[in-house]
Amino acid sequence: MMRHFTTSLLILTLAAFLIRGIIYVALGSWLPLAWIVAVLAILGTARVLGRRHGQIAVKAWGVFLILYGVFRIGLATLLYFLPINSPHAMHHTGLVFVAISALYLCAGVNLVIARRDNFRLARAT
Amino acid sequence: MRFWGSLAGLVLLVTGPVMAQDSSVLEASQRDFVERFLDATQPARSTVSQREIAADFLIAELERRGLVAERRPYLEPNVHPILDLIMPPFSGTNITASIPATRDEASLIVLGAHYDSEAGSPGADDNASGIAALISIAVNLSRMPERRYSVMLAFFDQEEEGKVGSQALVRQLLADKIDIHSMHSIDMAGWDSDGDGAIEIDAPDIWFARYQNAATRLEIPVSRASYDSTDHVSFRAHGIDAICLSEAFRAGDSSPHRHRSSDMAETLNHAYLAANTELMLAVLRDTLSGAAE
Repeated sequence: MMRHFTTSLLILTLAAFLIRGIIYVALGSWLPLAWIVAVLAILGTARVLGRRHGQIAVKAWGVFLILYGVFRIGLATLLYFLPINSPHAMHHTGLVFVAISALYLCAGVNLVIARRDNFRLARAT
Repeated sequence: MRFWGSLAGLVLLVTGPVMAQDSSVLEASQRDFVERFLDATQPARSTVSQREIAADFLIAELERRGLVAERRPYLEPNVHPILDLIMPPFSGTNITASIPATRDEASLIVLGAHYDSEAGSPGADDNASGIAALISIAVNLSRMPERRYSVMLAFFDQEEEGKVGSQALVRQLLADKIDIHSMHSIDMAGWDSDGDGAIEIDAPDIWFARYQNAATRLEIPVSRASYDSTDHVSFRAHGIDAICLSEAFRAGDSSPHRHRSSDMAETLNHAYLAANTELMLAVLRDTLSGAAE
């Protein structure tokens, strides 16, 4: 059950970045799609190399999500206390932005912890 | 004062072409427009809701003058690609109105000014002045019996964020395979503290010569300048002839109220704004009638 949840989280977070990438490609910006394609390629390659490599790659993705979430929350906090002269930035770094960032953060923590448990289980058996 | 401005505006709407009237009527109508625009959009045209109010106002103003206005929403990437990983895209709405040519397969002349303002600034000079000028010009051009080119009046969103609206519009027009003849913009054209009437023009050689000729006829002193911070640059980046008229930035005579809460209608020099309007109108009338080519 927990494993299904973790897999779902992995797929959801990758899908979120993939959708972002597709939206930005339509606007002429390739970086978000290039990033997620690279991540998918690394995850896929690691999985092919073996289960342990796959788990390490997923854990790395979890660490990225933690850093991503923390960075976004930090950015929103900074802009709250030191507002800049960009209505776009100010408008899009409000409560919804922080809530979504917290979700990324929680998903990252879950991916890291879940995989660590799996390592322990694997060692014990 | 406002009553007389409104009366002049009403007279203008009823009686016909802007420049056929006395310059004082043009000044009064532009003053009236700027005051009403600022009243409707105070304290600024910066946030999403403020810009929506401004867009509604402009559409109503264009339709009141017999021009069919259109909202052109857009999404644009962030200023730096790295930000695309973190932030949602820019979203905004350009307002356009088309004045068709009187012949087939004519290319398009874009008249552009941005309608947003800096946060906390009412933006009378920056850039209600440009909007007022272009509305007057568009109404006049729409009444020409013959036009060799189509004209699109475009009010850009999010110039203050980095020319976002104009970048979006030029991309949309080129994606639609529209042949853009040239782009003419006005940004900040209502400040002339030394009273010399000097107008700065950023234009390619051929267009600067045309503006200079018209300025000589109208006895308006012009000088050449180069700007990279306003909307015409978005068109120039795609190889399109793009022109910007502005107050004398390079000569040091530009509004000290720019981007401040004091950028109010009463700080504008409306006679100077009318001169800017007349200069651009003269060049465009020559171009549309074929006299310039």
